[in-house]
Amino acid sequence: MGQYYPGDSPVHKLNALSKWIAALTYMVALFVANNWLGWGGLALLAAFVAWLSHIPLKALGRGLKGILVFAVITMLFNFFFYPGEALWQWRFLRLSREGIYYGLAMGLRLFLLVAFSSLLTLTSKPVALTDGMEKMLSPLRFIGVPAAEIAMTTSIALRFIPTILEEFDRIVLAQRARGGGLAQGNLWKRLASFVPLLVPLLISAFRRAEDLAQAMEAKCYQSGQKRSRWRQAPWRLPDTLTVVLMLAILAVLIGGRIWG
Amino acid sequence: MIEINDVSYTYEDDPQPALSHIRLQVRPGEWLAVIGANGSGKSTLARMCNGLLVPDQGQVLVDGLDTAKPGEVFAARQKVAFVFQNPDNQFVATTVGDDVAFGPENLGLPPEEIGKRVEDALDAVDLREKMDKPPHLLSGGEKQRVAIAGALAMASRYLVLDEPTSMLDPALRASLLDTLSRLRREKGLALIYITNIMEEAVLADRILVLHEGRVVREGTPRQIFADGQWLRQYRLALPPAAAFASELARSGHPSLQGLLEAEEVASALDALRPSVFPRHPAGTAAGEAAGTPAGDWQIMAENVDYDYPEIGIGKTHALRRISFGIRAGELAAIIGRGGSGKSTLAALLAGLYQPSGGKLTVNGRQAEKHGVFPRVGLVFQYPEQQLFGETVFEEVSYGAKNFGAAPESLPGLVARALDTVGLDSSLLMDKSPFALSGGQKRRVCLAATLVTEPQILILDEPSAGLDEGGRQWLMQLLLQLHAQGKTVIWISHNMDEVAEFAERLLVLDQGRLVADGPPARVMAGEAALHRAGLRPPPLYHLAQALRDRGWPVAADCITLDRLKQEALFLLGGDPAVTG
Repeated sequence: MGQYYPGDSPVHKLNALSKWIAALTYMVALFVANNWLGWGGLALLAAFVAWLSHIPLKALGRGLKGILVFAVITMLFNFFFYPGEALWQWRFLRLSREGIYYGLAMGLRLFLLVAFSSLLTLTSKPVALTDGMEKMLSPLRFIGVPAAEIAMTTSIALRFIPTILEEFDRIVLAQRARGGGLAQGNLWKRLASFVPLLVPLLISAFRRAEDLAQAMEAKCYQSGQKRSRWRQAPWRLPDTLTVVLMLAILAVLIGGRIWG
Repeated sequence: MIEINDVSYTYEDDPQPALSHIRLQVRPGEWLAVIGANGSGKSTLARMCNGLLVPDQGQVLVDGLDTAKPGEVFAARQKVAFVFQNPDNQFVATTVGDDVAFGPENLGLPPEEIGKRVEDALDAVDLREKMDKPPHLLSGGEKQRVAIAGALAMASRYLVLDEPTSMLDPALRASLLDTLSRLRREKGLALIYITNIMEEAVLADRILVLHEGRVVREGTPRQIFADGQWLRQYRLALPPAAAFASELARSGHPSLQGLLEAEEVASALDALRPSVFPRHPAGTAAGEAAGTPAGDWQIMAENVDYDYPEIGIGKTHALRRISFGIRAGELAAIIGRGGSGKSTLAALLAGLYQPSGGKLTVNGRQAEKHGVFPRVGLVFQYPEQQLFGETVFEEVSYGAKNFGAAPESLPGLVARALDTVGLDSSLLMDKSPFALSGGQKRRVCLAATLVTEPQILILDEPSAGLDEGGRQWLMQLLLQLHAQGKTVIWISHNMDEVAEFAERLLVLDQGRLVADGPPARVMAGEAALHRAGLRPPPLYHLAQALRDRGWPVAADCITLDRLKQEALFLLGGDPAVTG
């Protein structure tokens, strides 16, 4: 997923909550749709939102490289292993019409799923993202879901991921300076060579967690307390329209599935 | 007022009490410094002040609020803000503004009020324009200022700072101290300032000396530093100018006794001025060290460039056209502000990175991909963060094993390395390194590199986080390794340390080598040092103050011993120098 790409597009201006709802609805829609008309429509929708967000293709593509590879692998796997009438066969590899159909559908769904979600993360500041998440989860508070805590945890994770990756780089270098590194050879040897990298990383993560907990406590944080918010995100007409539009699309797809 | 009434505290896993029977009062607006060796209880005392820790015995009252009472501790915490040592681990939110807003949000203040407080607090620490920046784009000093802004936004009256400058370079340290004294003046903020740096303690109204959880002395800086002899037993030292004054007082010039600041020491000395200054005997006043060792270049860098790697998240800093040579057996220090490329250079010298341009030869070889230079040892900054072994033996033998030492030779190698760092191998071999004290861990890490018997030893800020006793020990170890003929290169941001011990200084600024030479000569280029974010050591200012008064102080007087020798000589003949 992409990191926030600053901008001033209509998508950037949307409230993070409406973007969260849109992303979730889109996700459900992808799995409700069961024909090429539906999938094609959803693909067009993703392309339209991407265009509307003014995010350059390069920035968009950077976050999607990994999932593209994964989607292609899923697709090939389905091509050759999905049961069906064989069009072509070589040993255990069997290409069937059904396999091609499901492979393409699966690969496309996976790709669209990640592409649309990354539009959410690319156009929202991390703070807005977690605030929106908290709002989205807040109805679940009544069944005991700690919405505020989940949002706080996510926000801290976002904050510390770069720090911890950096730390890992440092540990790898330090152990290499002592002649260490990932060993060649059998599985056991390889696993053992991970110990000098992972033990310090875990210890440092725990130490950071402890320090951070103290810093938060020192600033009067208490889980379960009522907090206020500095940044207020206004809910405007485009937000309502976005949510209505997304729900309408989902309704059409469900309708198509029931009556179509 | 913060009142600490007969407080004792013992950590669960430690038989020794961390604090015993502490009595202390901190008045509003006061600047209190707390000094003491590592493990003396400073941080524990700091955490008592805002109820992060609650006493086992005794009571802590903040403006009358008892930190042990659940109903009162939050009100107390609002009054007492905290700045921790590590700037990274106290940054909660994803941007500067949100981090400052975090405290007021916890108090449930209305958004407009929070916005106003965030802006005012960031204005007060000059960070308004960084409001939307994420933490990884800030310097360590800026992160500490964000933490202070967080305290201001809480409208706290007391600010506890736990060694806030220990991870900062000299210029950032000076500017943080300026910010603190200004805020204290303007806002009447009381400071409880934990430090290991005596020059910083001197700035306080009152100093508290802790040793093994007890208050051993309390008084004004002048009272505390009047006579330095007793400080040594607590692993502390006098601030540099006071140390000089005390040495001269003991050498027959009692009028300097108890003086603290460079200017007053210089004036007192000037009052003793002889009618005519003796002349320096020819040849000793040159200011250059005995001469660089002869021999072939062991390290040769010619126009070395290093670019940020395309992939990878490591915070490496680019280097530009670095050229220098180091001969076998040199003792050199690399200095420069944070982000100037010091650690990158160290990694290049160890062969961990390859230059992206130019030529780097170490022991006659050039760096290869995924290799390290043989017989070059690199000790990382805070090396105890890389410990992993179940036993000290496993930890220390790791390097030797990786570089192909025979299994049967390992116990001997490990014992020898532990011996070099002053640890008893028969006692420690089978212990877990994690069970050791901070100082012992550092020694184990040094042994873990020395076990590979490097010819060239590179250390990245080896004295960071050590107290004065630990630093002295470490420097003696480096001198000893140097005396054995090893090449020793260390990175430092302590100007006293490099002035006293290095034979050569390499100054980096924004990836370029901006100065290279003997410490006295490098320190004399004060303007260049300032540009590089550095400051000459305090004794340099004392020597300068004497020169301003017309004293012909030689250029190499940047260490205590040399300056003392020179002052005694100029005062009218020290046989050790003239004879």
